[in-house]
Amino acid sequence: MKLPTLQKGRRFWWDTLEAYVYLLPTLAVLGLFTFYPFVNAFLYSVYDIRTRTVPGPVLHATADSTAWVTALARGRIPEELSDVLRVRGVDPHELWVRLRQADRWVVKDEASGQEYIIVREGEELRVHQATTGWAMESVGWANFTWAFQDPDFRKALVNTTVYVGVSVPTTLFLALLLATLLHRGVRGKAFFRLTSFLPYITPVVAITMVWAWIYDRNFGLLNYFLRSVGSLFGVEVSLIDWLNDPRYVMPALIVMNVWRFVGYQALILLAGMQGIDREYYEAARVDGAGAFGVWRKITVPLLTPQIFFLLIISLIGSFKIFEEVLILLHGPGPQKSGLTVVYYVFTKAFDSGHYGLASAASVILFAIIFVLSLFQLTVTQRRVHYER
Amino acid sequence: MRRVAILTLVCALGVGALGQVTISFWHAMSGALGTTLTELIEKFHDENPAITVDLIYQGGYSALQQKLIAAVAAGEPPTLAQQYENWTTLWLDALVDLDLFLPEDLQGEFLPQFSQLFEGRMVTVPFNKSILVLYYRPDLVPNPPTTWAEFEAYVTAIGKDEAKGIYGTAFRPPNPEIFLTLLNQAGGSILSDDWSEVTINNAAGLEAAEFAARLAKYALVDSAYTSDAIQKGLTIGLFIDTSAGYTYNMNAAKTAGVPLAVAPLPCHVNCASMIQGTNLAVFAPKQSRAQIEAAAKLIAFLLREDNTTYWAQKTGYLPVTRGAIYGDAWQAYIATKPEQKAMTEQLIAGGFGQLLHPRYMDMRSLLITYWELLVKGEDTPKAIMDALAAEIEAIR
Repeated sequence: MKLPTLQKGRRFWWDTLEAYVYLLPTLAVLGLFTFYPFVNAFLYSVYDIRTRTVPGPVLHATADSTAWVTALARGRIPEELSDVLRVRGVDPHELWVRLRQADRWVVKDEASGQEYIIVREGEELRVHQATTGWAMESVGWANFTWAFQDPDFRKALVNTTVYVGVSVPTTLFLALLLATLLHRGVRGKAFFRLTSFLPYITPVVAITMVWAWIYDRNFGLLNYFLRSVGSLFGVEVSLIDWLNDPRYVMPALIVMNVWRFVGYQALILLAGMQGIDREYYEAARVDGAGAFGVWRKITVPLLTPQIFFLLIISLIGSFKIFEEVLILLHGPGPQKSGLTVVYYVFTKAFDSGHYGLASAASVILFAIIFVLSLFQLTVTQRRVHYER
Repeated sequence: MRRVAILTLVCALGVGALGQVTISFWHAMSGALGTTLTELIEKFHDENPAITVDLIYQGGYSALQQKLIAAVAAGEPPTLAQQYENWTTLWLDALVDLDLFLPEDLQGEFLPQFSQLFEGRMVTVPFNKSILVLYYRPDLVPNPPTTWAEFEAYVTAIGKDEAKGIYGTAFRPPNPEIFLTLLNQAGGSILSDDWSEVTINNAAGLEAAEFAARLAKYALVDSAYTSDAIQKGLTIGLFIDTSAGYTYNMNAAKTAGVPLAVAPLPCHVNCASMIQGTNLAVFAPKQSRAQIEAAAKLIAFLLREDNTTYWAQKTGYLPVTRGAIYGDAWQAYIATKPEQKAMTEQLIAGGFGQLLHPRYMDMRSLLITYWELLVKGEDTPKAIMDALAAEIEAIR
């Protein structure tokens, strides 16, 4: 692309600058909460990260350790240490011991906040400047190996794949049916459109709380319904523990989310259907095509841009399922049957403090989504028909 | 003249503020617990006008843990916070050695059950402590069991009838502390004393697992709190639960219109019972010595005999110092409260704490997985214990 020269394109540069000013708030938010963590996740995935006191360069070494150890063990500052640090401008009266172990001690300078660590190395004691905080130690691919060897991560991958594999096509198929019905002009179309879209705009927490009640073993609506239907046919239906039986946890999650997203997807598809030129339908009818034939040969192919969009969006969204697991199951579910990759990442980072492992798991998830999206872009898009 | 007066006032305020120290205290005590804690902090303010405690409720324990993890990572932790032992191991280097700051007489006051050193350091002190005890239905269990055999006999006799909502006992898969208590009672442990060997699947471990598996056949196995089941009207004959759940369990029983009582756990080789609840620790980053000293002063205040006793009476937790637990006030209190007496006896008879291994957090996660398999009867106790031992060995 040839950029305009400064003289000729003053207007262009002004417009560009103006555009960036408008974009700035969004870019700042995205940068801070999306791009920065995104890049850091890659970085952290090759580190072991822990809170610890890390020694800096050696300031002093001494072989005469008895007096030091005795003083430090009592929480006092050894004379020689005072001298060493006084030379560096530290007032010894400002020094105090905050950590004592058999072979290392941490002393803090109250005035500057600087910490010094005294480490026993064989017969020698060494004084270092020290920093306490997040310390990163490079471990190469160890976190990735750890993730793949962790049965929980493998289980999370399988669970997530099952969830995506079932919920994405099911939601899309049901949304297509719903959109077709709404498009054909059923009675109460506006009502159906509204009610099917409501789950999408309702907060996930509220939805999940309601479904937790629906799935309750003893007092839930679903078991009540199943028992009522069973009794109509004289069949004793035993109570199903939807959220406590590992066999039913994943179906429970899938059903809830299919219900949640089907209305939204149907609305997108409906908008697509309404945009299809009526001439195609008229021509098809003139040629004697039936309703199903028209739907299969005209509606669906011309909806492929919307279907493709929904496929990508729901695939990415489904791989990131998290809140539903947290609220519905209050954990990974019985025998970790509801453990998903993002939930695994969350617990490893914020419950166990394994930030490196959590980052590695999130990078693996990113790679999976990226490859699948790329596959969809290159392969599936060939089947997308854009109306010209 | 007016200027001089203003200047004098400003100087006076400035001088007053110079000696003022503010410390932050993050906690997870909600409802009545939070109210009692606030009361104690107000009392502390009255006694120590130069110290301001910024008491910050951070939500439940999970929220507190997650916020502490983030705060420590960001280098901005609070001065003082409640924390479980397995959280402490995540940020050990960021904590202050409390024995350097706490009064010596207080340090010798902790019951041995609460004495714990992290890599040789005293970085925490016990605060809101509870213990596993036995809850039982007096109408179904006239005399609470004192041995495993009696416990099992009651559970078997009450049996399990899902259609009628009757269960001999109840197990919560997310609560492996019940198994750890049985393990300890059988004389077992997760690791050997020097941590050089995984011992969870030895004879004692297997005995505990087999006992739990036998009870599980008659148990309600549910992740939800047992009080929820009681409130829903389910019948649970007798079950092991923390003394901190006392109010919830009793209220649930009251709602359901059934009697419920508390007794010490039945014993086996010994009368062990796992101590639950959090400790207090002081963070070093960004804190001045004056703040750390103020935090230590607050800890000493909270653990003073009158205050820890008041805290225990109001909250259902247990007093944590020798003076308080054997003191007149607590002894007089439990003389009229058989449930609290049972909890106190349980603590003295066999209270034991968490394994202070740096990978305990991961071990507990494994314990939850295998405890669930055990109580759901997914495999034989031996196979489950061997698999658990192998996984612990891999991360030890």
